[in-house]
Amino acid sequence: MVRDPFADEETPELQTVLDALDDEDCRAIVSVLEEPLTASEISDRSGVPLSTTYRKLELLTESSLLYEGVEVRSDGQHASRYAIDFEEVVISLDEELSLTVDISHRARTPDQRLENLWSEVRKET
Amino acid sequence: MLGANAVLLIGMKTVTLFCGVILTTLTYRAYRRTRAPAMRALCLGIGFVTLGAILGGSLHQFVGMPVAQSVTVEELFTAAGFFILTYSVYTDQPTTTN
Repeated sequence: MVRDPFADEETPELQTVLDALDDEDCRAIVSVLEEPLTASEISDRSGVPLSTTYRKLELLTESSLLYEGVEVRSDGQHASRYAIDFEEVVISLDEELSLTVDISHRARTPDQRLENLWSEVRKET
Repeated sequence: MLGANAVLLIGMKTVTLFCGVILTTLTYRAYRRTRAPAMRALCLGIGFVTLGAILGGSLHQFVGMPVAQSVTVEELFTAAGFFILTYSVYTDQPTTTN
């Protein structure tokens, strides 16, 4: 199993991840993401109303279960495409007997990795 | 009396070493913090290139190695360094915990 140790965001809150996983609409959204899609495409394919889709996408990206990439179209419009960004969610018990969540992310492309590595190096300056 | 070319060479070497040492230090600290194999490779790669730059000049100056040979040694380190750098972005990292 491959893991990218450089998630751009901090590890998400346990509650956020659980909320996303416990949500039928969120699970429906994940199930249609065989490829990166825009919000309206996701809404069409999953049958989740568009306004709800936007809300759920926010929850899913906040949970770092989805990855939001911005695509600039030829007409200058920005349309975000969302892609699945996790392989498994591990919930474990730490020393203080509280639950912690750890998400294994899918391997990213070499250029994304380099960008992530470099942003880690910059944190040291 | 040093020629203009020698002065320029010393200046460039100094900049290379200075930046190389800074970058090696930063990547090493980032590796200590993240414990990520890719970051270790990044640190080693930059370290090798920097070390090569140091050795290339030193071997000629202090050990009396011919220029051609010392340049070859430098290139060896540079090649190894860039190979490791390339490897660091293509390698699949094993599972680690944050």
